[in-house]
Amino acid sequence: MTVVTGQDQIAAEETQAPKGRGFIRSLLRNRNFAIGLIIFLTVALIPVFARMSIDPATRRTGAFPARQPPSAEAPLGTEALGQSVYVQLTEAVPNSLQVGLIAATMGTVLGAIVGFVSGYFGGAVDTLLRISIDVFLSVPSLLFLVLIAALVRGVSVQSMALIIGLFAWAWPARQVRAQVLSLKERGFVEIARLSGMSGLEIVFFELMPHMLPWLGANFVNAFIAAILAEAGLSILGLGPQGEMTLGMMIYWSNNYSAMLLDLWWWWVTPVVTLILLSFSLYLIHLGFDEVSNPRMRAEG
Amino acid sequence: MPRLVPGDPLSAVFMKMSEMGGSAGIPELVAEYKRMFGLDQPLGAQYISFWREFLQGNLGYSISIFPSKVTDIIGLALPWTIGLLSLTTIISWILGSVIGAVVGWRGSRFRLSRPIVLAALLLYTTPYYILALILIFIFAFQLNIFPLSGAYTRGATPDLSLPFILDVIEHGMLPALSIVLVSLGWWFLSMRSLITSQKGEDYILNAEAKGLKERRILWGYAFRNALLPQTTGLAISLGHIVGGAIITETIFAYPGIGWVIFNAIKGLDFPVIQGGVLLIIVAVVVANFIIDILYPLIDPRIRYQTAGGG
Amino acid sequence: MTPLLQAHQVTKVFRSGMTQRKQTVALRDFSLSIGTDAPSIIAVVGESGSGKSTMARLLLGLERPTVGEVLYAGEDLRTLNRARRRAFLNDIQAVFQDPFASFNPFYKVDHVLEVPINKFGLAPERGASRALMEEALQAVGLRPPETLGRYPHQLSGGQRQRIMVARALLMQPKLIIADEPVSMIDASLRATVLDSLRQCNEDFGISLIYITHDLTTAYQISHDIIVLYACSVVEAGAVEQVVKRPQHPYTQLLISSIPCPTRTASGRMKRHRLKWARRPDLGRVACLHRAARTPSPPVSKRRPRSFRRGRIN
Repeated sequence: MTVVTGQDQIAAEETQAPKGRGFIRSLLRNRNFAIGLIIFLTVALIPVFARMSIDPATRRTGAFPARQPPSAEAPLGTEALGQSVYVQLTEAVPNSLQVGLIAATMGTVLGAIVGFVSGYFGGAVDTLLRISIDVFLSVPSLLFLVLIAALVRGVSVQSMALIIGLFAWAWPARQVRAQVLSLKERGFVEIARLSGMSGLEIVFFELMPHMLPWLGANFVNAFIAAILAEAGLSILGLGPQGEMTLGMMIYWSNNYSAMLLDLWWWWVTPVVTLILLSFSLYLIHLGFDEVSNPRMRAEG
Repeated sequence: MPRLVPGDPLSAVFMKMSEMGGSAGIPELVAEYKRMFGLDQPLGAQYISFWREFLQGNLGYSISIFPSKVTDIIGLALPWTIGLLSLTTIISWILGSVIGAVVGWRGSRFRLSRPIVLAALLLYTTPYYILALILIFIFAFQLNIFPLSGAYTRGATPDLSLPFILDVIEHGMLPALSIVLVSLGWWFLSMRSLITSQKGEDYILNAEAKGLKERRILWGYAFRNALLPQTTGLAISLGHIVGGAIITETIFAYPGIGWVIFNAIKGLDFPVIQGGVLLIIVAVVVANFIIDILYPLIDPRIRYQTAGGG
Repeated sequence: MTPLLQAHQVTKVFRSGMTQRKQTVALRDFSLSIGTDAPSIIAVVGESGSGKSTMARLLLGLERPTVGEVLYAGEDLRTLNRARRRAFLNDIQAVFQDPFASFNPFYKVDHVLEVPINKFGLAPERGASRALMEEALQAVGLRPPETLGRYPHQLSGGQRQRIMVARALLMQPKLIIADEPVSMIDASLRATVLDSLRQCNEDFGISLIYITHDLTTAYQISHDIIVLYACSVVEAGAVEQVVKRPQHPYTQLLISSIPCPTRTASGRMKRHRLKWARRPDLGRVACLHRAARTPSPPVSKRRPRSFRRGRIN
């Protein structure tokens, strides 16, 4: 054993997550985060930009000969109705991202609000919110998603996102509540109260900064979950029939027996895109976790 | 609760009937059916009668497959779901935990760590229905080894004969594989990070200082401590089995609960939906209850607490 | 004239358990009155679990009394309106035990000084806030360039705690409640914090409630002393009187267990002082050795006479 002087200082530095700009810098230096970000941007942005440069005429069904393998005109082949799979992808990816964005934002913001209110103010409100959190957590959300999606006939991309977001708040709410409960016992909350800060100010300026990295990681997680939930529902035939998402691409390819007809480019394209999106977002999430929770970096 | 949503179940049935060329739209018949299912009553009364019947063990009759009871339909589907999912979940849990423990313990000393972790990451982030599609493509279409859908060959009569059991195993292979592989990734990753975080703990250092064998420290010390959160995970996912099965079972047309509920939802067959949802919630509650019972067996600290009376 | 802060037969009971049936008394029938006329230092002494911290939190309005009331200038803390609450915070401030937890690790130490300046409009103009902060830091013996702009973990416990004193000073309060301000600080740095606190009293005319489990420091800096035992006040009075002629057995025990007294009047200790009288330096060392070697006495001996114990566990 070596004698360590100024022990509290060293211990403190070890358990402190980097703050503010330092946080972003160490985030970018994190290998998982960087790789994840690069893959994600590549997969997500190419279709978004390509969409603008595509001639609207090529979006029609029958714009290309049907069931063609990848060629110069249709880089990813064409499907059974003569649409270019590549053109479909440029519509599907932004739509799927939109679902993820709306649902994750909704879930994270709602969850954070519920968690903060429940944890900080306590009392009867807390009891009520805690019970509803537990109820939402214990029923399998997928089942209710299927139920709702089946009953809301003719969903759009946006309503799909809202339905998914409706089930995305309970987990962050529970985590935020638990964190707030432990944070509010810390001395600085009392000091802030004695310094004249109001409850809302304490939540925003004293507690929120501690939660931000976690909320960021949760947002990414919810983003993946929402994209995958959309795909799952769409594959079951409950997706937005009139629009194109990654899930709907798989649904249509299944519907027209792409596998049986050996039109591999049709179903492999959305499947690979989905896997890459999910994988890259998970890496980003991991990076977030490692940077905001230095204990996780201990591993060699 | 499902009845609060818009949509008239009977019109869905009659639409189906008319598609099949049946005599649809006869008003008297509609009224008669409505009376039978109690749909002419206000919602509150429907709700009360549901619970009254439920307490007597009666979940009512299915609307779309009329003469059969909901309990019969669910009873028929339940063994398939439980058989397929609990088996696969437990297999992947054991495999994932053990491999995760070894890889987490050896860390970077183990040359295969990196590729294994990468593979697990890929598996975990791939949704199981996507993996199911890939498996279907490889095994059912390309290699033609395993059948595409169903739980047994159409037309075979379920019995306990050897050929039938083999048939069931053959049919269960693909859905099972898709579930095992995906959840394997998750169990592996969570066990690995649990073990890694245990590695630096004082009690491990102490065990090393005492000169205990490495094998003993890993399995008797670190693994045992990591088992508690891992078991919680297992219990939770067992509770969610019934509900989580929907997509897999639907893709493989596997006649389990998920498949039944999915079809019931499509046909607005409320009694079956109600029964299914009820079953799922009961499963979650029972799983939570089992966790509470199991905890003291795994973690003695919890036993002390209850004995000491807090 | 109405006293600044007054506790009137305050009892605090914590309830826990599923049905709130498990009760723990934290403070019983506590009364205290602090005037505005002459600034004084009152020490509150007691072992852990004796209700010291609960008392501080009650006086600060961070807990509500179960029975009784805490009055600020004659007004119940529970019924203060916005403006009166501001006045209350302006007059009564606190320094807490844990100098690390008192800082939000997310912010530089400037944050704890800036918040009260902004919230209470202490700076007459924009640029004046920095000057105010520096002035307060200098008042507690800190050099502003070495402290401002740093994160809490870059400073020592003593420095952090003195910043907390500076924070309280900024508000120019009439009373500072210091809850074990030095118990988590390295022994070598304690004097610096205690000095800052004493300065608050002597130079700025601020009254002080000094809560501690350490009778020696209480004796060093305070004028009056309150001894808490098992959630109740067992003895109170001028410090000289209480320490020289303790009435309650618990106070007697506290005083007799000070390892190497130089000023107490306990007979047993006197013998020691006589024995080593000619070599005071040696005496101190020997005393330390003796304290280290003697095993702690069993509980029955530790409490010389039996008296009622509250439910403190």
